[in-house]
Amino acid sequence: VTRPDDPEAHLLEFLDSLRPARKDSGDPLAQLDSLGILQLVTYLETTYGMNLAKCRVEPDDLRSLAGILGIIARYSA
Amino acid sequence: VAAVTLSGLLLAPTMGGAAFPAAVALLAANRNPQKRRTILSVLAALVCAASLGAIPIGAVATAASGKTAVALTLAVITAVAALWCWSRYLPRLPAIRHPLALLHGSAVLAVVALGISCRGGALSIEKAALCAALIPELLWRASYWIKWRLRQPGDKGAAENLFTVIPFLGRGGVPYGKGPEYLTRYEASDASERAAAQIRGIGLLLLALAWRLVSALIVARVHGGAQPWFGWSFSPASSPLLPSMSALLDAPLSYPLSLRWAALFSELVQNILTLAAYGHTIVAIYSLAGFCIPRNTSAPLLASTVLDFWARYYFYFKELLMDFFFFPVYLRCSRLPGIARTLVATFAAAFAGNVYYHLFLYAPEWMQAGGRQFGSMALLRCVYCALLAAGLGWSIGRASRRAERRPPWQQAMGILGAAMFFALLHIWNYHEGEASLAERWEVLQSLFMWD
Repeated sequence: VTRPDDPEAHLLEFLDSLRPARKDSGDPLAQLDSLGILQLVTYLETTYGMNLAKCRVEPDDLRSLAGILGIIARYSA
Repeated sequence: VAAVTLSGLLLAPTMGGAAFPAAVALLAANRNPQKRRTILSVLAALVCAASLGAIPIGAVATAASGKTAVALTLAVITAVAALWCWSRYLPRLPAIRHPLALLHGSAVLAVVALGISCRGGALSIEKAALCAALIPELLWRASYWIKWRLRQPGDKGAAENLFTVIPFLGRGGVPYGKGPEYLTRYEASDASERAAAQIRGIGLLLLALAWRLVSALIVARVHGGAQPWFGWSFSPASSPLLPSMSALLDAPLSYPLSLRWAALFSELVQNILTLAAYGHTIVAIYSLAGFCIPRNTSAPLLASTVLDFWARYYFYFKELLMDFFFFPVYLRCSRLPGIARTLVATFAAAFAGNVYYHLFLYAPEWMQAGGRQFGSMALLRCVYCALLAAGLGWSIGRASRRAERRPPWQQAMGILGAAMFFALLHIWNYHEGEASLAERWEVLQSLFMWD
């Protein structure tokens, strides 16, 4: 697993790739549906080698940028 | 004050005797936003006590007497107090590794014990069924509560958030607004946000009234039936335009093919209107109290995929299945390849979770002698959930391969396809106890047979 130097920029880039049609909307997570959440989980697992099952993460934690960055900071070590 | 007074008037037809305490508490909650949750907890206890005498329990269909209603209220208070005490000490009890499993195991044991007591004659059928009907009302709210407590340092805020556990809004056990943590995300933080939330609440109440009116009009003028609109009935059409679903189940082939399909879509529209009106009322109350939570039903007929329709149709039930079944299974299956992992989690939520949720709702039927009704309802639910899981799995598989933007004709076909899927699915969901699997299968077959 190669961790990105700037997790926030990398995450935003990934979120934009999920919703190319809605790049202009302010919050990249605002329109994320259930399928998007799954893709986000896979992204966190593959990019940071996390095992989210052991992290007591809830789906709602993945609906804000701060929440996701918090998870990355806490569990990707 | 004007907004909340108006809300009291609008709530009266829906909440009956509970509307007055609700309006007063909403007024108080808005005057003291810092004590909003405490006031709502008091309101929840009042409304719950006022409405517990009329729990719908399927075939038992007995409204609880005054004495039983008091006993039920005491049972709810005891359960909520026990949960509060337990959750208060939960973070300090490392021995309980899986508190949610313990809670659900206890609920299953309680239902089994009620069934055995009832069969053995230790408890009357009515009392056992009423107690069993209470369990799902508390179970999912308590599950969200425990999830929240496990993530909370210390025992701060436990008492003031009790309103999220008390079953005071709606029936069926689906917790609108989920738990305290979710509500915090949507809580108005200043006067202008509070005002916006209240205006949204009034709008939703008016919309709920309008949808109920449209639904009553469809029943009377299109199907020739009678559905009261706050005590006022429209005169039924002498020659109905379409058969009702009950009529279709009785003799599907006695109507032309076009009418059979039209009746099916009309039933879907009516079902959506009923659910939307019900959900809007509950979401409106939360909005009036300052929690601007998302709608339960949000234009499902505009959804262009089965997955999107499901999310727009019954949002809080979908969230319940996501939170307690889909997401935990998805996380634990990390070794499976992507699509297999998603399908396993979809099956766990849409089939296993959905059946599990409904078995608690059907438990009062099991208390009856023989439990035949319970068996047929459970079987019907299994068929419904298997079809739903298959539809959602197929939709997820397609969505993961598809580009974001689709041409308009594909969007239109998607909208028609999603609506058709749920219209056909509703054949297996319509009034569980009223028609057999064979009768429903006949309706399905009749839709693909020429006249």
